[in-house]
Amino acid sequence: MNPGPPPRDDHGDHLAEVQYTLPTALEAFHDLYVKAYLNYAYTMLGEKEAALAVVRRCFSHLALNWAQVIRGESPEAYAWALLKARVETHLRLAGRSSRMVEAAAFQRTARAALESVRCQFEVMETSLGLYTAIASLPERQYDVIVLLHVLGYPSDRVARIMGVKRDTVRSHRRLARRRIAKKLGLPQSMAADDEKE
Amino acid sequence: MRPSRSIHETLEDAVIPDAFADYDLAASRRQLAHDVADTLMFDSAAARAAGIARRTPAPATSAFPTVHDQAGKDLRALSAHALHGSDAAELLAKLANSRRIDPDGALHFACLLNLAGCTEGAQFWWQFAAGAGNPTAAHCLHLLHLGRGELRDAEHWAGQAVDLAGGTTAPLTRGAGPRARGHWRRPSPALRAAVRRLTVDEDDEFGRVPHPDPCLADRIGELSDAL
Repeated sequence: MNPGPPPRDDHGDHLAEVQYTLPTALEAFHDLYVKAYLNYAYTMLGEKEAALAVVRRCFSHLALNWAQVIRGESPEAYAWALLKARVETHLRLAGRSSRMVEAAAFQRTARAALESVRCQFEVMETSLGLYTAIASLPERQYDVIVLLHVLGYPSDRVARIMGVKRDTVRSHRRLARRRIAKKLGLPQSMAADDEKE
Repeated sequence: MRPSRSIHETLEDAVIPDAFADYDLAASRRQLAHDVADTLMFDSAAARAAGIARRTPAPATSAFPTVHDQAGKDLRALSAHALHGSDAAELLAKLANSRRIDPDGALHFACLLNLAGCTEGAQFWWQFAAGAGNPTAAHCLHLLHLGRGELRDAEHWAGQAVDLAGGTTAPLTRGAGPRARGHWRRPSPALRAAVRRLTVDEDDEFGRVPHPDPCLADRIGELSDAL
């Protein structure tokens, strides 16, 4: 009697026969960036499970295309673009716009920050106002604000995550802050503050 | 009077804690290896559902093109195509010489900068050309943003491109050449050197933006081999 196909639940055993080892460079890339990607995705999607799923699939794609990815101009830039596109697609399929404003921790801190400002200027602003100001930025500036100010990564790290030069991060930060401050009627930082990092 | 809080301080307070502080990297790597093995062992979702595995795993060398990667290639192909046009040198010369900046020249200059790897400068000149009503420049910006995975910005420029082309996309793709294939190649040293010699202005939004100069237009024929 001929052996039938492997039983349905036997995938684990069957896969054990498949020798697939992650290339060392990919392992290193994974360890360097997976948490940053997860935190970014979580900030945008508002759900841990969704973030885990999106990032997992991104890494599968990177692994399956690794030879191509490392031949390109910047693996980091490639991976970042892939992550961004997949996050946005996920949001659209779920019929939602970015959930950043709903992240409870973000609301708490934004509200506290704006309370002190409100006393100074008698400006009727809410955390929604801060979010709206941030959300109307061009995508690159938006991402710089999220990575620098919501996730708190230093600018060197942000540059590597996005696959851009550190100067690019700084100029986007400067522009984004200027736009947000203008929208909220806040004073601009002194030049010294701006270049603190 | 207490000094007012700056935007710097306001934003500093917005940081949220790491939601994945206890994420297990080793387990994650194992899961990744498993996922890849799984993909390579089953030809399709239907095969997996039926429990029909391949006898041997598929080679891990297949490339699954992404929209963003293809957009980058298309933009480079479009840039090269624009510069191979016979009037590119003339337009570049016009841009450098006239006091009133010509949008077509700006488009071609942006394409040149893009091929030289100077994407911030390219973005500036494309926005200039698009602002002056050039639909191809808007299309280039669409591709630029798409190449970065910036889908919302990409869509904005796609809309602009259609509006500027009078409601049709046909003019943009006509003569754009075959769909770009192949690997990214490093910009030629000659091209990079030529671009590096250009006068640079510091722009608020785009940083260091190169300006065209008459000599560049003269050398376009020589440089086009590098494209």
